[in-house]
Amino acid sequence: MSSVEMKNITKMYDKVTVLKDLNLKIDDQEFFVLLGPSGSGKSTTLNTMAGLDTPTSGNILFDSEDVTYFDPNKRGVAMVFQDYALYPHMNVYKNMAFPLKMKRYKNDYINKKINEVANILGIKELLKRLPRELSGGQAQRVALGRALVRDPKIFLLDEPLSNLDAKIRSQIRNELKLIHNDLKKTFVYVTHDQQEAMYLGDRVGILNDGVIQQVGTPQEVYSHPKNLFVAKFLGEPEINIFELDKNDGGFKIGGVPVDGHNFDKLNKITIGIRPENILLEKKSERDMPLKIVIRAKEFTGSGFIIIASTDEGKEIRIISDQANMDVGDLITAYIDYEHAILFDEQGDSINK
Amino acid sequence: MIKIKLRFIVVYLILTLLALAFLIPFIWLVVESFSPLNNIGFTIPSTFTLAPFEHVLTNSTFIRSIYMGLIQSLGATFLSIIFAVGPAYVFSRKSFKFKTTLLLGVLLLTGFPVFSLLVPTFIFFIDTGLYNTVIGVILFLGVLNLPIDIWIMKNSFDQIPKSIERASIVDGAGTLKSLIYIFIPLSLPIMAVLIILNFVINWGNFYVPFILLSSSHLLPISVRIYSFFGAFSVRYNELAALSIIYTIPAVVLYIFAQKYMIKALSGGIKG
Ligand SMILES: Nc1ncnc2c1ncn2[C@@H]1O[C@H](COP(=O)(O)OP(=O)(O)OP(=O)(O)O)[C@@H](O)[C@H]1O
Ligand SMILES: [Mg+2]
Repeated sequence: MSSVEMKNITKMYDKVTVLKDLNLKIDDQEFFVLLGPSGSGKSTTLNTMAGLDTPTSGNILFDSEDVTYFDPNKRGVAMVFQDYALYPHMNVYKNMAFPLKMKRYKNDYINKKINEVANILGIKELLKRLPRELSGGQAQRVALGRALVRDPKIFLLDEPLSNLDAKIRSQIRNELKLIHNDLKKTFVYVTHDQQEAMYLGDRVGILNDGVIQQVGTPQEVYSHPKNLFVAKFLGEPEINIFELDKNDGGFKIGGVPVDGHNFDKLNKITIGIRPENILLEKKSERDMPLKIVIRAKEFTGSGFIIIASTDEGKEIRIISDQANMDVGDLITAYIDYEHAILFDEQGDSINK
Repeated sequence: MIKIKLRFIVVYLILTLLALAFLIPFIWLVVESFSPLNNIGFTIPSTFTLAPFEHVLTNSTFIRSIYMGLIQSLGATFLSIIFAVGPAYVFSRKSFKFKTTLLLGVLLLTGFPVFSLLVPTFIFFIDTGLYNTVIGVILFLGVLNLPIDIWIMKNSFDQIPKSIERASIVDGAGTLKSLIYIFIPLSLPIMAVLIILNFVINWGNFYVPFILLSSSHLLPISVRIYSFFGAFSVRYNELAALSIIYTIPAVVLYIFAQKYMIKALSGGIKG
């Protein structure tokens, strides 16, 4: 059992506030992903959980026990770092043995445990090598191994895959998911890669400028972003954004009025439409036609990304299974209004 | 073409002469140390003999001075290395008030003419009973090298990535264990260099034992060599033999730690 709760955490370095009144609840056995751009405070959040940093104010609870001022080694957490942080002067075996040695386990147990974990991670042949003799993927496996042998209550992972090439990244990502399913432990995983976050997370917390923007399942945060930042940060290619000014008492895209009942008080709205929600064929009565000129087609393997521009010269992106049109063609696409996301002037999402 | 060649020849000639100027005293030292006593001055002796070495190495006073030299220099070396580790770690890893000021203070002390403290120390040592004791010399020599040791060790610790330290802390090592298992092993090349540097400086130090010791049985080799000159007739061949013996520990240490020296001077710690 290990849930994590961060209550009103504020962290300041000198006069710079890095985390602003951050609240998070991570459930036992959950795979929680903290997602945010560089400098948003992800590592700082993780470090305060680990006890490597102390919050300026606020409390951290593990299973409702206040651990805010506990030393790292009293917290029962294991951590994996972006740059692997293997001890350069110890071979793989000794690296993995280190946390167990610190806990004064017997050599027999250490040996057994390391072999067990080395088998799971497929690093048995590497045990005698020094870190500098390992490839990036191997080094990260060893770093994972060093965390796994410890049997901690909580795993903290700080961008563990971001230094790896795409193929090994997805491979270890899959393994991580399986390991989490097997171990049934709480994982807190930090990344700036939204795809990784959606793939791995039971829930995802999006962080920007030290403020949690939204927490939810990948589907929730993708389909129902609370604000423009979340909407734009998730999804590849990026969501299509239409900023609309009030005209004749209503809003229009490509000359077609946007229907909605509570626009009265608003002077400006922003509509976000994911690339897969712009259709090449009309599907429902509410779909809104949009005249576009095809600018480029990109083949992605499973389909196409179509880059086009509207009458007003706005560039939009469409994901489509097929693309039997040519660059330069003038066609009518349809906005799937059902899936359009509306935001007010402040960028907060509003109901249709 | 010829001009260039000529320049080469001139340059090499000058360099050779310079090298000779440095080498001649050493050559003379070696030759003299294998000469019989009657061979005075810069001449080739009629016969070579091991007698000067034999005499020096069987003379209990000289043996004792070598022994004293070793104890005092090694003692002071380990004293300052051990006491440098803590401050070096704190300066490298912790932030606190006046850190920069203190650090600059340490840096300043590395160039401070500490010998100017010898007189007050002398009086202090007499008052506290440390005068004319081996411990007293070790303490003073140890403190002498402390600032430079702290400074170099701090720079070495600075190169250890923060995440490695953090990993060790999360893995359950406290500050002390992190020092013992991570920082010190990773700084081993620098430590080796520091040990040699300290030893050679201490071994060659003349003033400190000369002023802080009075009993002749405590005098290290550096002071003992000097005492030759006070004798009625200087035995140059024995002086030469003792001088050669005097240089041996430094040379041996340099050879022994060459590997580390190269490592330490060519780039520090890498993963
Ligand atoms: N020790 C420190 N002193 C001062 N400022 C710091 C310190 N550590 C982090 N910061 C600042 O806090 C902010 C958040 O840093 P943090 O490392 O948590 O970001 P991050 O989300 O992990 O970014 P990245 O994806 O680049 O790792 C940054 O603006 C950073 O400059
Ligand atoms: Mg980070």
